[in-house]
Amino acid sequence: MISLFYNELVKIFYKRRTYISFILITLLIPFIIYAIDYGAISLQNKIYGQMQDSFIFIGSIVNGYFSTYLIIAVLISHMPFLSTIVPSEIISGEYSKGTFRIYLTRPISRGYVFISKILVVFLYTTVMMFYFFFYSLLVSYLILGDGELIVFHKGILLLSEDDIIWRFFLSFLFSNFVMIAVASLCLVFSSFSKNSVTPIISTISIVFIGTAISFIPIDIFEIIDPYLFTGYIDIFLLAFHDPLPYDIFVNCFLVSLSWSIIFILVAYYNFTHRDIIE
Amino acid sequence: MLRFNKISKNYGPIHALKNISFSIPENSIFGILGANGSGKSTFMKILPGLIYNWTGEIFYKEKYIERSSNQLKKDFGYLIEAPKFYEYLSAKHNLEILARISEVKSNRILEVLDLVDLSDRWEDKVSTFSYGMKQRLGIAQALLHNPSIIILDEPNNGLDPNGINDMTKLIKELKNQGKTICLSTHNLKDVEEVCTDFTIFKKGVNSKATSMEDQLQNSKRWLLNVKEKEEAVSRISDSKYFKILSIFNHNIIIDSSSKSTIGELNKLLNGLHIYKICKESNLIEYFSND
Repeated sequence: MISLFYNELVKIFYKRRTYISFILITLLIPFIIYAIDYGAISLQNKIYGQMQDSFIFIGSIVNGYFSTYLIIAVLISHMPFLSTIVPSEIISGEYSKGTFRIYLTRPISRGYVFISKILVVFLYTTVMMFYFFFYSLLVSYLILGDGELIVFHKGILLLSEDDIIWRFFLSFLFSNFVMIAVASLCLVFSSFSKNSVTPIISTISIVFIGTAISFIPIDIFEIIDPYLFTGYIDIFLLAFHDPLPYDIFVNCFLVSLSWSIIFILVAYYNFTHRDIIE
Repeated sequence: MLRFNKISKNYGPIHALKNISFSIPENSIFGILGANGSGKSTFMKILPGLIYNWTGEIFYKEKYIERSSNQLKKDFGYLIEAPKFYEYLSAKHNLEILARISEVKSNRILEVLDLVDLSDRWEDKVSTFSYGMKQRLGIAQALLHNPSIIILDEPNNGLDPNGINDMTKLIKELKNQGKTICLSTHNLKDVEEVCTDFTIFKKGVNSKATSMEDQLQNSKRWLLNVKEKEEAVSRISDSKYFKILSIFNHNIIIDSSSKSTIGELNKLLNGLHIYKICKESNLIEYFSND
């Protein structure tokens, strides 16, 4: 099993597409941070708005933490796309390129091959999400410094410096659960498909539909939304609420886990029973 | 050594294989001969478990083998169709990946690459290899874990004459090392030149497995190379026991009746300068009529 896992790591390490998401994050985030820094005063005025009539604000609310919060809020809805890059190809790529005709003739079970692939997908998703959250935080901190974090939840909530970092960890953790469900969904399509584009398009379409359901205020959608993992893509926002809505975090975990298990089982069955004729 | 009993496989309404049954003797070079679409490759993919949904039984050393059993992978080396590697990795990395899961020590990699004459290119990416080199690398991976049975699906496909010659030598060498080889091909010459036994696949059905020796013994064809071609043709045409099938340069292929012998043929051609006279395989008849 360790050998299989190691093999999958070697395969993705040497592929250029593995690094696309990391390169995008690395290039895009400093750019956004500099843009925030450049427009800090204008941004601050927009946020303060009419509150300036009632409160006296000392210092700037635009700091490293606020910048990270803003970046995550803007980019989190695009992360499902990046999280499909590796899983979309991890099975379908081997079908289409015919490499399974050599790999699966070795004395190994298809079940173990599948497990090694899914472990690598989970590792990739987690590392990518971690990089996204904490690279944003690090670069924001280095460029904009620290300070208190102002968020809008039932009015204005001011979080002190020592009350922030753990919230980013919490938001990373639960956002990662949702992204793992997205990656698992992509793996299902990868196990059925003979190319790597179809799984990406199919997954993103489903995420798009699921997200639309969350935003359309129709009774039936409001009933089913808590049971869809797509409804928790912006769960990270809740990590900055006070008090924390524990019930929603538990729901997020259970819903993401349940969907991930369903997707993995479907992909597993298909992978282990499929004829490899390509 | 390896016995197949009533192997069948359907793709929807299409019967790709229908009750395929035959045995592969130990230390033989067994040929599966068939036209394109006859079911050879489908059959080859059943053994390593690439095709999952099929019916029938496989016995290895008289022991029933469970579907997709690792037994059929541990003792077997496979080259199924054109070998496809991870093109973005080097030959060495590709074989390391396979060695790791076959529990083979890494020094074996250089041994097999040496065997197929690729040791000087082992650091190069597979994407830079020619088709023939990939085919040789395919053979190297099949031999990596030193299997006792080697399954080769169309091993000469896409190779140039030198490549075919090298492949033929390698297959014979493997047999001399005590290995059993099963190869599929649509080329009669491949079977005639290297195989000790064969079966013919036609529309998913196979003929009775036969040894090349028996096939040659039962053949009524003779190849004759004679200096006085016209005279020989005239004498053979007048004979009631022999019939000319084809003439090419000074080669005459003749068909003999069941009663005729080489003695009678010698008597018929008495006084002519015969350079060569030998039994000719009638595999083409098997292939066309079976």
